[in-house]
Amino acid sequence: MANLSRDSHYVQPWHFDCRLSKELPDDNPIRGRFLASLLACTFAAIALFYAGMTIYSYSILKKEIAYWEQLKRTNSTQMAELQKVITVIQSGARRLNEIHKHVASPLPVSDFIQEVGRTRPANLRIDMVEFHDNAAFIRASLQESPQRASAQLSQYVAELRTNPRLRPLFSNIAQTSMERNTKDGTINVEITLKLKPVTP
Amino acid sequence: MSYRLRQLLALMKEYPFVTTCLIIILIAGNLSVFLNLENTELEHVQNRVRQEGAVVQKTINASPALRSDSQLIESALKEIDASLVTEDNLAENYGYFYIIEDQSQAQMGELHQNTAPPNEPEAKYRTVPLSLTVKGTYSQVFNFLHRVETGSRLIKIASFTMHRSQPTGDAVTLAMELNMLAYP
Repeated sequence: MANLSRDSHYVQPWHFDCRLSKELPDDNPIRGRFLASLLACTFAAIALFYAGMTIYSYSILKKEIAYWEQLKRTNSTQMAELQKVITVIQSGARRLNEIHKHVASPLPVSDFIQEVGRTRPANLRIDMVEFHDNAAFIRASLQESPQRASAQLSQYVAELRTNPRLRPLFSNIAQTSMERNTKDGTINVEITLKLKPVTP
Repeated sequence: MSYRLRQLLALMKEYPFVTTCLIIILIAGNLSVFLNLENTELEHVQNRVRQEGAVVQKTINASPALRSDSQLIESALKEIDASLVTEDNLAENYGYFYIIEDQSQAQMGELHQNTAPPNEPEAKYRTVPLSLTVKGTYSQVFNFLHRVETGSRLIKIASFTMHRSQPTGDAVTLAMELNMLAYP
């Protein structure tokens, strides 16, 4: 406060103020007009830009629709012809599916019998091969001591499980029975092979 | 002329630039609203037409494959139709297995055509069940089986039992339940 009072004489004008402030025109309307014009101009520019963008996307959409319509028109004859081909394929596929349902064999029997015969151990005598209810059964006898027969059969079953021709057909291959035949001393065994479900 | 309108006209005369801008805003706004509504509708049309067009393009690109598939299916179906049997034609149905018996030299025992299950509605095919037994050496019976499986008739082996005819020797017996593809 002390500084203000000391320097106050420097702030005063260096000459007399002769302006007639009350008679000067008010500059507020000019500022208002300028601001209103600026705002209106800005909004008009935004509105024009937005309208332009809308017109642009409208024309793009129209062009794209025209392109696809043209494509459809030019290929209509070929499409009609191909539609007939597709109908033939669809009805044919339905018939083939029906045939498959009727006669598709889950087990190629001769291949299976051949493979079983080819892979059996030399001392394994196959007495019966059976197939029903989505499972195949191999009944065989082995002229061996129970311990050796057991080891040999385990190995044979393991071989069947890894056999490249049988593995894709069966979901489970297991030895399901092993009995000693008291009459001739052989070991009777049964191996069950469960089929995988058939898919068209 | 009402007072308010006169006032408005006076304002418009006083601010011509702002008035022009307001008119532009009004026109552009209305145009934008109208075109936006149009665009929303056009977008739906464009999506539908584009999808249809894509299907057309895909189909035309795949036309050689479609034509060859169609020919393949038609020829396969012709071949299958030629191999179909008729349930009532017992002589021909049995005759087919007698021919295989001759070719394989196995001896056929029983051969029965069983009653076929009832037709499914609108079914184009049905199966005729048969049961048969074959005897012979392993190679003869195996030959018979192989011919049944790979012969001209479409046959499904529903079940089978192959066992030794006697405890010793090479003779085996095969009993099978078959389904032959037939006309409905």
